[in-house]
Amino acid sequence: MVGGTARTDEPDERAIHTRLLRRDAAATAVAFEAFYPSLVARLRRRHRLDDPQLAEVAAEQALLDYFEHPTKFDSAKGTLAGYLAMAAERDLLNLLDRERRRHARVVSIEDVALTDLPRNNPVEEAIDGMTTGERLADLRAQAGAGLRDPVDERVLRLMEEGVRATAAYAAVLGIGHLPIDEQRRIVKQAKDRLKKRLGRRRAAAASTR
Amino acid sequence: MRPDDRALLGRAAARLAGNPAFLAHLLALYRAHRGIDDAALADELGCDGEGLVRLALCRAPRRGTDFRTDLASAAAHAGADLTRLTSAVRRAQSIATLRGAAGANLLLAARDRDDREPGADRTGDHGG
Repeated sequence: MVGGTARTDEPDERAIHTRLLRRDAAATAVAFEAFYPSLVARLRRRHRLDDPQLAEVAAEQALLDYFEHPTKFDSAKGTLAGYLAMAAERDLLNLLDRERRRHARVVSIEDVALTDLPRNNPVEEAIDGMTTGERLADLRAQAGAGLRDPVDERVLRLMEEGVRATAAYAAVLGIGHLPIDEQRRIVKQAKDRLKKRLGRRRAAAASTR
Repeated sequence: MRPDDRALLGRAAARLAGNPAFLAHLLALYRAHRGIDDAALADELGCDGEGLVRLALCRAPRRGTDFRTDLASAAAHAGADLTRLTSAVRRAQSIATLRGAAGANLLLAARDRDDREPGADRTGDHGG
């Protein structure tokens, strides 16, 4: 040990560091044997890890960083074991943080995939979520009563069936004689209006439950 | 080396097989090339399983005049036969070089394809 009486089971830090600075090819193996098991054990003691291999990866990362930049270690500031322990701790926290963020992303994607309809701001989000006829049918079921206007009812039925052709809607709306751009605009308007109306009905129905 | 530590260090060595800065990488290339397992590789290098883990955790030898010094240090630390280790490492480096060249050729071929105008210089397109 640097600056103290070395116990026989403690690594000779100064010798290891010197060998590493000299780029002795075996120095990395010596350092691994001297520090790696205790680094991993320390991380596992201090953290309850779902994946125990994270401690191994973090300890390994700390050693590899040290091998890459051995001069960053300053023996005047503390022991090499302490320096590596701090580096491993930091690397583990980074790994855990990355895992948490990855997990959050997965959960978020699953939420979107599994939820038929959004629960906040029902009108706008319901409109965004209504991309398929199936979802629209669900929404109508949740909204309760059907539509009074027979044209609206027929438009809605086309939407539920997943029909996308403008001509089909134009025929129902009686606008087949108009230019195609105009037809598209009016059809979109009708669809949006229906979606909004259903969204409001659903929100009102939910608030009275 | 305690058995627990050996298993732990063995896993680290296995992960380092993907890191060209370590002997683990060259030993993995050589082992795959020969189609042998760890025990057979250790036997071939004149060391035991623990020695093989130690070798894998050593830095890959530098090129040039330091090559032999680096391998001598690794062999001494692992109790391996320097001559056999040198032979295996040289073979592994050749494999790595060939793989690198093959990869570069593939990249060049892909770039040539990308650079070529659609339909240009295609044999048979000019009639005749």
